[in-house]
Amino acid sequence: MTANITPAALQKNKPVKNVYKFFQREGTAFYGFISLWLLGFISLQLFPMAAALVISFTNFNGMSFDNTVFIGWSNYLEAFQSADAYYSMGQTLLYAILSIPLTLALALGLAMLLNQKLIGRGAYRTAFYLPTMVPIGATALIFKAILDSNTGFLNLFISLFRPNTVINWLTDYGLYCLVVMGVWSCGTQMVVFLAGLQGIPEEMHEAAAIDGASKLQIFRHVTWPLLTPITYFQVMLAIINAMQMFVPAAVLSQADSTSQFWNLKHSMLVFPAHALQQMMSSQRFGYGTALVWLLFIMVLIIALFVSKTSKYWVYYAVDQEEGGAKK
Amino acid sequence: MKKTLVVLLLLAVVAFGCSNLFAASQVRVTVMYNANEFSADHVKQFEAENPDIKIVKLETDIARFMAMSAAGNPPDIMRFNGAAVPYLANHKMIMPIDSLISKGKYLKKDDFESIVDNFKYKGKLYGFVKDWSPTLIGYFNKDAFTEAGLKFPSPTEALSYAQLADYARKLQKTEGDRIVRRGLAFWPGDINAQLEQTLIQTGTNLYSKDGSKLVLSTNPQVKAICKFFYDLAKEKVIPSPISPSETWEGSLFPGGRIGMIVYGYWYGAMSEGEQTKGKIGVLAAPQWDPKKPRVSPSFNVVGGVISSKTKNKEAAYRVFDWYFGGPPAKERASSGWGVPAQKSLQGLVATDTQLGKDRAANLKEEMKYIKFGNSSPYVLPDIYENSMRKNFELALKGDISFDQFLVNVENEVNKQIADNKASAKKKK
Repeated sequence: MTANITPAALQKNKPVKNVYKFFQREGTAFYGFISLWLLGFISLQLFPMAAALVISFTNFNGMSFDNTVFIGWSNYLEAFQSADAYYSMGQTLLYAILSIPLTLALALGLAMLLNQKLIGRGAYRTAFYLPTMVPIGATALIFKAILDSNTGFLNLFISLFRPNTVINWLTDYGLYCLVVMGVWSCGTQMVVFLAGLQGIPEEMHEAAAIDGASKLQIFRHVTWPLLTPITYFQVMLAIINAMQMFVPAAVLSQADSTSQFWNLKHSMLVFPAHALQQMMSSQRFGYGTALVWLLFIMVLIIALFVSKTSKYWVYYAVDQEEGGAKK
Repeated sequence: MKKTLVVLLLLAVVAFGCSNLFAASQVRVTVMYNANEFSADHVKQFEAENPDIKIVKLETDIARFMAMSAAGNPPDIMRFNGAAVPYLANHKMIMPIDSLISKGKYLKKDDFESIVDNFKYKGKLYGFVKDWSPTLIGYFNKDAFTEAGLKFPSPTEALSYAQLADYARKLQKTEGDRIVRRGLAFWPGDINAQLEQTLIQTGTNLYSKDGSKLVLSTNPQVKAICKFFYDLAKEKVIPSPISPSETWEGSLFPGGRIGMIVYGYWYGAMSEGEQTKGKIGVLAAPQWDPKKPRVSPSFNVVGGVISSKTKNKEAAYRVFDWYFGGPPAKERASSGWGVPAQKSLQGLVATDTQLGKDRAANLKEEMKYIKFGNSSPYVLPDIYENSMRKNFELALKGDISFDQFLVNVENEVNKQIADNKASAKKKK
């Protein structure tokens, strides 16, 4: 359509020229393409976050604004004095510290194994990816069947060597059970690593082998550096996911309880669950949203720290600043 | 052909317009209730009888309820526990229904059982009971009793708590540390419920009279009751965080995996399993102090309330009246899943089996001794429940002392009450 509008015609008709120019602008196209996403982002993310920030300075009970007043920084100050907040944050950090390296190490190991020329490689890849596709509720039931103190397979297995062993895994080692459950579903990370490994040119491995490098040296000096951008991406995602982990704890904790899903076993009480409990069980929406904002700030700080330190351990084949090869 | 199409199109437009006009003439009443209690069939039945009212049925979801309430558009009718009524009424979230009852078709004040008072606050009735249970009524496995050499308890004469614990210990069957058959289970299994129920028997309450304080550490009965359950939990005779059941105890009992189950009257309807058919007996509500007059407590009385923000209270009450007093109430009364809250609906449960006969005899006796506890108008019961659950787990694991457990709960709940009271004052 625009091909019929000649420059002469534009000279004659200024408004048409302006419309033409408007649609020709790069910015117009950019905003046109992102407009739908932007609408969703503003209405479903930015606005709720801003609203939550305002609510975090109030005593809102989650149901009625009738008795709601601004209470300044009280909610934030209380969070810094609350033993429960410290405990649950400690649980969340411990989960992140344990699950992220274990998940990524296992995913990398599996990806490297499955990058070999094996018979039935496709079947193995599918098998290792399958846990990721199992709904979280079903995963919790599987783990419950394994970890139950009285009838669980794990205790029955241990009982083969030490008869009638009853270890209360879910109460005494709840957080560690969650870590194992998280590591078990490492299929997504494995696929990403596999994609990264397949992007490394074979000649580089061959060249290193010809130069006499051992398998470990090849991994250390060729494979790993080329995988670091993908690892960086995976670490970032893992931090965000681990710090926000709640659903697995809720479903595993609920397996033997009739209470609301946010009332977790104390051994599985992670920070997001504590925030939700404050909102739903205690009708302290203001305090709960303050906790959520503190979690957001915490994640932001950790992510920034990882981002700042990435220059020391992430290798980019293309220089990030000058667009050339990194020396 | 063309003419036919035009005529069809016109007819479709007219039909659409008419349906819209019809819909516009209907009043919409939003009901937030459990699907297994207020079923799709109930909705159809009501709408067929009342074509001018359209029911919008939502599943019970406290998060959704909170969001709808905050947006100023709560459901017209909601499922709530009677213990939440003082808080909801104090926050003007629900409306009194006294004036509506006289205009209704089914619910009649002179027909109400005293349990209906559970939905009263400051003398006004704010809701109605769906059905209820004397919650300390239990059931026992006759085979387990025979195996342990115990005489079957009477369905009408109450055991003491000490006797109950003694029986539970004898019924417990283990292989090493593994529990093959648990001696006793309570519903719901958490300590908060056991304290609340047993305390009613002592004539004392969880909260001070005006509901402004949770009273635990200064009530010696509280300490004794909690210690009783703490000791049983430590011995693993009852399920607890240190010895949880692999699944809901209600599904383990019919399979013979639990000796006695104190789940309330309602559970009788599902207490028998294939292995235990004809082998289940009824336990009268045990008594904390057998020397004191007998009390059969009821807590967690579930029912419905009407929002104070309902746009059409007459229509909302018509749905409410029909569900709590009309055909669904009769249906529930004959099912045996709960005791009706109306005198006229008593005695509809079939009693053709021995268990049925025992249940009827037991209920007749228990009804003489019914009592229920109080709650606070400043907090919903969840905070107490959650705090008890958390601190009891910590005490059982040895992370805090037994005494500290009660102090922590009292402090946590009372702090919340104080905060809520202060907030209300600030606003004024």
